[in-house]
Amino acid sequence: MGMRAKKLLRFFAPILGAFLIVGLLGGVLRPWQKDFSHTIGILTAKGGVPVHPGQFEEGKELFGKYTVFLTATATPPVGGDIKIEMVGPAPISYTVYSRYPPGVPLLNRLHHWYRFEDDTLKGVTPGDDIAIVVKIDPPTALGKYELTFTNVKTKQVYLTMPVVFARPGEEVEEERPSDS
Amino acid sequence: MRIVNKLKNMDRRQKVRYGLMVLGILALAPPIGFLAQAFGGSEFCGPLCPRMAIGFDFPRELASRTTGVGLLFTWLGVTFFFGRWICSHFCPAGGLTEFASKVLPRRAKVDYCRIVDAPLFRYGFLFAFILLPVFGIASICCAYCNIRTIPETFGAIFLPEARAMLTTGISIASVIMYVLLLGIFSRDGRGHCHLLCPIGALDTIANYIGAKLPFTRRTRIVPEKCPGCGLCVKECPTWAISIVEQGQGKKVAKIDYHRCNQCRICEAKCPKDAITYGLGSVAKG
Repeated sequence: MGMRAKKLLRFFAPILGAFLIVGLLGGVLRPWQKDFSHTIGILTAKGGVPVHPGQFEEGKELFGKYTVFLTATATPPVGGDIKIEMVGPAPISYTVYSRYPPGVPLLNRLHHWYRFEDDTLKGVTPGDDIAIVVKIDPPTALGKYELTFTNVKTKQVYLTMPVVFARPGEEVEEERPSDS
Repeated sequence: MRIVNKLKNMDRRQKVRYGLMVLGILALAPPIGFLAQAFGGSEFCGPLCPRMAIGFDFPRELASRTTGVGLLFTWLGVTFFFGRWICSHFCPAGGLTEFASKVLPRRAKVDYCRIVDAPLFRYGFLFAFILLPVFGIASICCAYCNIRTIPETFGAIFLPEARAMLTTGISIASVIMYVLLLGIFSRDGRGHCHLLCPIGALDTIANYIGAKLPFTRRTRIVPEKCPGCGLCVKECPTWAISIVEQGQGKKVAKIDYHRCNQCRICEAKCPKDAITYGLGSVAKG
């Protein structure tokens, strides 16, 4: 191999290596890990917008759990105490964790923190960010489950986030974002 | 006792750096994250995320998440004028793995910057990070993020919600890669900073361009003072210093600003005080 070819190889090998790592992580490893789903939504007074619903394949749970990470924003006038529930074709066992308030809530005068107790976000104000982790046991019946955010007082639903459990390769009805 | 003695004998610059690293962890990592809380988040990941603004989503990010975009530009601005202070002194992702790596002996760690051409790999990663999602080949945003994974792993010691996130396939893969292989088991505990951090890649570009200007501050070599002994070359964890011929047989050290992480370890090691933090017009590197 000539000097020029060696120089070119030395230059391009690390760049190609980096491309390969990104390709392997995002293109191969990520689609293979199906125990986790990041869902995104918007809480509105009209029932919410599920921007990115969740979907799982049967038998792909890890340590006996599926994990949904849901991030959402409460748009005005959404506020108050909001109950988080998961409902579907069969009873399902799940645990909800909230990232907010932080472990040691400081600076409450700069930023108001809501509280999280008994699967309920208490004292949410318009504009608040919501970030929850839901650990779900494998359901007894497959199908479309829903993660709902409901105002405890008025029973108004602020968001219904579909979380689908299907057999591998099974066609699932695609959810279209809507604000109704 | 050994740790206390080690701290007593430590160079003042490193004491300041470790102090700022602790402050960075308190400011941007769970369970406290006081700076993140001021912006409505609980840690680096969230409203303050500077990483999501990198790529073709930039206009949308600029319109919707100004705090993250603001942090990114502040970060790059500080680097352009003063060097890589935020990466080396304040970033909790780098700080946490650097502190954790101190428990391991040097022989147990891999010197990635020696094996791989770190700047080329880092820039390749940045291009792939931006380009591959456009072609639908691979998107790694958030899922495999060092800025998310490392503080969250630390937070898992204190918080059940962080532990819940950590027990997913995606987080386990990220912890193995960023916290262990490219973190604790890398020479300076910052292998992920040198190879797989898109902020770090942009930061080194700002560092390299800024270093060429006379009014910016950097760790620089004063050629008149440099004996060319090569002590600094051995100490630099990023292999950023090399000895070059300056003419008439005189050898001097030279800093590669694509590699330099502004850790300032070399400044303390120079017996002739030939390495100093200052303006480009005073001391040229």
